[in-house]
Amino acid sequence: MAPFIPQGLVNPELNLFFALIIGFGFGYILEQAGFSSSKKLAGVFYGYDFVVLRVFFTAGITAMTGLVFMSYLGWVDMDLIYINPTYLWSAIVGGVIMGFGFILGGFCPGTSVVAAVIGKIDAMVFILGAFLGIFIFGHFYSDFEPIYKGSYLGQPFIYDSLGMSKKWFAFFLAFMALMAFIFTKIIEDKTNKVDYKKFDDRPNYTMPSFLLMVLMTIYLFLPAERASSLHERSPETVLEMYNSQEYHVDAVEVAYRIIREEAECVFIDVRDAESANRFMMPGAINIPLKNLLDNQYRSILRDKNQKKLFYSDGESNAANAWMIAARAGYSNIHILKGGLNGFFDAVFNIEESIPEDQNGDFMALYRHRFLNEVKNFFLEGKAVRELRPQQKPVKTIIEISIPEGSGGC
Amino acid sequence: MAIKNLNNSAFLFFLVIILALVFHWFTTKSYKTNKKDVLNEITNESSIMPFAELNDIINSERIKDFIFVDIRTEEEFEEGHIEGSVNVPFNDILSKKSKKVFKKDKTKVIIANKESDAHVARTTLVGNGFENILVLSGNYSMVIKHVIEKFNPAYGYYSEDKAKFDYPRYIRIGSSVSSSDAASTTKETKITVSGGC
Repeated sequence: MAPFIPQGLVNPELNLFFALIIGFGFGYILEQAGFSSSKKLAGVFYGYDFVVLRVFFTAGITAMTGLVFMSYLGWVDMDLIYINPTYLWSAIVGGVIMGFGFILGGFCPGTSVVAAVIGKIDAMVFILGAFLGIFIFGHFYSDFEPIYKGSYLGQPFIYDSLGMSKKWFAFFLAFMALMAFIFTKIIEDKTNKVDYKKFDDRPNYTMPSFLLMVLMTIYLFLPAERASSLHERSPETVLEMYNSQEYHVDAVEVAYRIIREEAECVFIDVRDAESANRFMMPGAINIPLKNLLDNQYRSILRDKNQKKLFYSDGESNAANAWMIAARAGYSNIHILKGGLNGFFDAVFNIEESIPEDQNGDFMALYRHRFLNEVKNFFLEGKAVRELRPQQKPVKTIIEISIPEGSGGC
Repeated sequence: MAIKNLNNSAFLFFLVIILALVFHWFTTKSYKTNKKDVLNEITNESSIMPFAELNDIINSERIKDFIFVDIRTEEEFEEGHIEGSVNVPFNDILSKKSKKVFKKDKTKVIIANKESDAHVARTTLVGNGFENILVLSGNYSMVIKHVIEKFNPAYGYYSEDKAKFDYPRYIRIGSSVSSSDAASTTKETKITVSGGC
């Protein structure tokens, strides 16, 4: 559920539920494709049956086509999709072990479960072996760790390593898949010694292959990706919001919230970390403007029920942060009017006595009295660092989306 | 039978993508630059023009490469403006007239009553694909006072978005969490007054 949960469309607590449904679907398809038969699976190695290769290539190509187009249309944010990091050594060693296990046992991890479910005893033994392996790995983890975490490469993409563009790579991959389908069929026929010309009723895949290549060609020649995605607010809307002044919060209101230690509002300090370390408003968190769109802050900004107040020294950077957040579609976002300078001006540059000429103006009187109260409150050092006594732990996207153990097929 | 189903579903898949693309092309295009690039552009230090630089420019040949765009209201512009500046009121920042101005090949410098308005205008314009736009730090009255009338080097790097106060001197934050907190450690260290402008 990668794009849905981090984007806030689906509650993270439902994650496992969806995983269960997808798991059922995956298992069903594996079974239907005949992957519960180790004879079929091992066929790839002996050249008499390439159905495994075809099914996985088909699944890969279908997913790729869907993803590239959905990403192009702005329906899926590719940044949110978790990609397994590459550890070169564990990939090599794991690949070798997996290959041997595959050929000896006749299953790969996923298919062994499918086969065990339909009652195959060898698959159950295979799973037992897998658990044994897991146990050994877990027990001697400290010994394995250097290999396991050796040669970390981050998340490289094949097309980057090849110096190709993403579009051309997608095109070639689709083409390669189709070629692979044809060649594997020829190899199969040779191994099985059948003359394919005798089979007139053999299914004809020209039409889907043709459509796939048309799609990939269209993708190749699509203009550059649209800059905005569906959930973004238009520039007109953003400017209208900004001009309405409804999203500007006055110093008095901020002071009120601070001295009452109200929990409704989270201050977001958009200055750089250095300035923020020196001073932050009580209960503020620091999100430097540069990092506003980083994934780790997404959950804070996305919370619709939490009032968020951007501030900087003046108003400029807070306004910029607000503009970006408003465009990104976040709501309940506000700007501290005048920034910290404005706030300090209002609170600390007031006269001790009530100005004479404001007789009868009760609002001004109350405002003045209140600000004096605030001033003393601050000068006495009563402001506390943490406004919210029980702050909810912020769930970061990383916590949500890292699946444990990838498990090939 | 199976192949017919496959053909049908492949065709359906194809059709859905094509329809989505067609729909995509006909919907209004709102932005031309994605938000990450906008953020990079506006946080770029060199996208802000301090008074010192402005002073250098107006006293040199380089002024030909710049357009000063005044985004105050028409009335304010009429009352007085920097010589050679163009008026595009803030509310018309998305209008055709504004597009004409910001499409020009020169470096555009935005001047406003409030620095934040200039930033908001610039962020909007960058999102709409315009390039080479700078924000003049400070505001119109400051420019007039400290650059146009007589250049005051003390204000050479003035910005509304710089701290005017030495905050920790005013608000002492009692730490309810722990002493390892960054804010509480700064309390003990002596801090020299930074002096905003």
